[in-house]
Amino acid sequence: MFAQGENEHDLECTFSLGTNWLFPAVGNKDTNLVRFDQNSTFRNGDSLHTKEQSLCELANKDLKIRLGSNSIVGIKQKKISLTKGTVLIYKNFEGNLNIKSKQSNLSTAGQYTAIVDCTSNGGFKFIPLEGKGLIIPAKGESKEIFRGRLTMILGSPSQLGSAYDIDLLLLLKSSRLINAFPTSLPSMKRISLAIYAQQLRIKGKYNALIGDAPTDDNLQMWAFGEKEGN
Amino acid sequence: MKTNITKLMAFFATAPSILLSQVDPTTIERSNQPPSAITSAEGVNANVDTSDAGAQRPIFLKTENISVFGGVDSKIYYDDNPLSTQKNSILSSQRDAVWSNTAHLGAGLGQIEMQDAVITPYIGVSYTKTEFLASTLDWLDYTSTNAYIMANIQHSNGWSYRLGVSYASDSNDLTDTETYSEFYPNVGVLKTYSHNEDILGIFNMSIGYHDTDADKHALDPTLSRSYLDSFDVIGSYGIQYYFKDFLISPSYSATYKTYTKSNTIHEKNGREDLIHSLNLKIDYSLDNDLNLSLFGGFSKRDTKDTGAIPYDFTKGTAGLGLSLSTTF
Repeated sequence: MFAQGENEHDLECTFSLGTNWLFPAVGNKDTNLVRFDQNSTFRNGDSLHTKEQSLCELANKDLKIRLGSNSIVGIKQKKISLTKGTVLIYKNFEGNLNIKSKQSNLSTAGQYTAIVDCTSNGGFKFIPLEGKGLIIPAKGESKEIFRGRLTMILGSPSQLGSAYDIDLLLLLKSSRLINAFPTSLPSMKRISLAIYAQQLRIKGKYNALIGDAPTDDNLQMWAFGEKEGN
Repeated sequence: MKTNITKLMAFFATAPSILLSQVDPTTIERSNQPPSAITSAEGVNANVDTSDAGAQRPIFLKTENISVFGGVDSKIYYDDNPLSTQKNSILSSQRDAVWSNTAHLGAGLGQIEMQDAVITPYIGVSYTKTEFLASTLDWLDYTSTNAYIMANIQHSNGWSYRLGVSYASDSNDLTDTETYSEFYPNVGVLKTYSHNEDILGIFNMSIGYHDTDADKHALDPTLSRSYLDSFDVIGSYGIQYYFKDFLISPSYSATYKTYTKSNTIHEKNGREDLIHSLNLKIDYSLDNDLNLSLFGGFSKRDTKDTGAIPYDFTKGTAGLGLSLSTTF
């Protein structure tokens, strides 16, 4: 019923950097591959491909989605399909939002801000920066969203893999999806509060960085020294 | 014993002016909050390039709800008016070197995390010995104890609210008697401002009531032991500037105090103080827990409606401090 123009799931491009291409969905008004620039409309069911060194931000009243470079994302109603790359999701409604990668999918409930980062095994990392809610895999128990807790989403039917608490402050400083946009996230104050709460509870930091997951049983860790703290 | 007699003689030689002030307990900076260092337990971060998702460095969190912190501070400093007396009084010439040693222990009692706020209750105690080194004031050496309970509420709007109550007590080391004690219920707000990448501004404001029990006033024994009871409002703004390995922290604070039980023949209209303080501190971290600091300050008190008793003073201090603080 919202196939043309006024769909409540449409998103507006609020920022575009570099080269971004829109792949309109079959049945939408325009079906040609088009350059996607600021103020363009992303219609329900369309897909977007960001090229190297490109960034893009889409927004409506319920969602704000920031795409990193070399990412391919399709959005249809409350489903986000991330075939490749990285997105940041600011979810401003309580209902369910489904996140799908090449192989895995995850249902989420509640309001939150999270980064979703595809991994080579077809799954993805789900990294909540703030918020409350649930992550609900197809297989296994749901878990509460906990700020700064990176959870691997693996396989099909998908299940929750290993989870790691990560340094939110470092993530904040080094993430282009947070810092490289002209406007700050609506949840930035809550993210700052989440960092404060995490800092109160940090006992130590590992001198390692989490990398890609080439297989479900293998997660790359890049060590750069000795463990700090106790 | 001989030493004690000598000290007592020195005491009587300078009385009664010296009795007027002793160490002014209302001008002593009393710690009734946890050290800010425990809220920034940040280790050395990895040097990482930016990426879309950002660097994902694993950390390990405390599993216990109660986190204990403590430390020791040692300060030696020059004070051109340690008794906080008016310049034209006898005591204004009593410049001295002061050595102050503090041990403190506290605990955070867990966190209550809400959507837009984090509430953290704290308790803590401290023990301080203050010694006058160079002059004949060493008979005024004193020991301070302090205990506090407070709740800090960090809101997502950036403001931090706190409410708490502290108890403080001073005892004269020579006579081993308590000379001053107070309960101090207080509420406050704090907000930090990032002026640029290197400069942080800190605004702090609080209001509280000093419910005191002090030694009899030397010049007016008719005053009750609670003649120092007072409301105070404190506002301050400080800068923290990181320059290489140094943290440079200038600050200004203004304190307004109105005394609630000082209406006597000497103070017909009640006593009101306005204290201005300018301070500068330069910290150098020797390692994560050990900190060396240089500090200096200037304070000025203007008192209104004091009748015959002069309370105005100016004072300057400069010194060196070493502090060791850690979490358990």
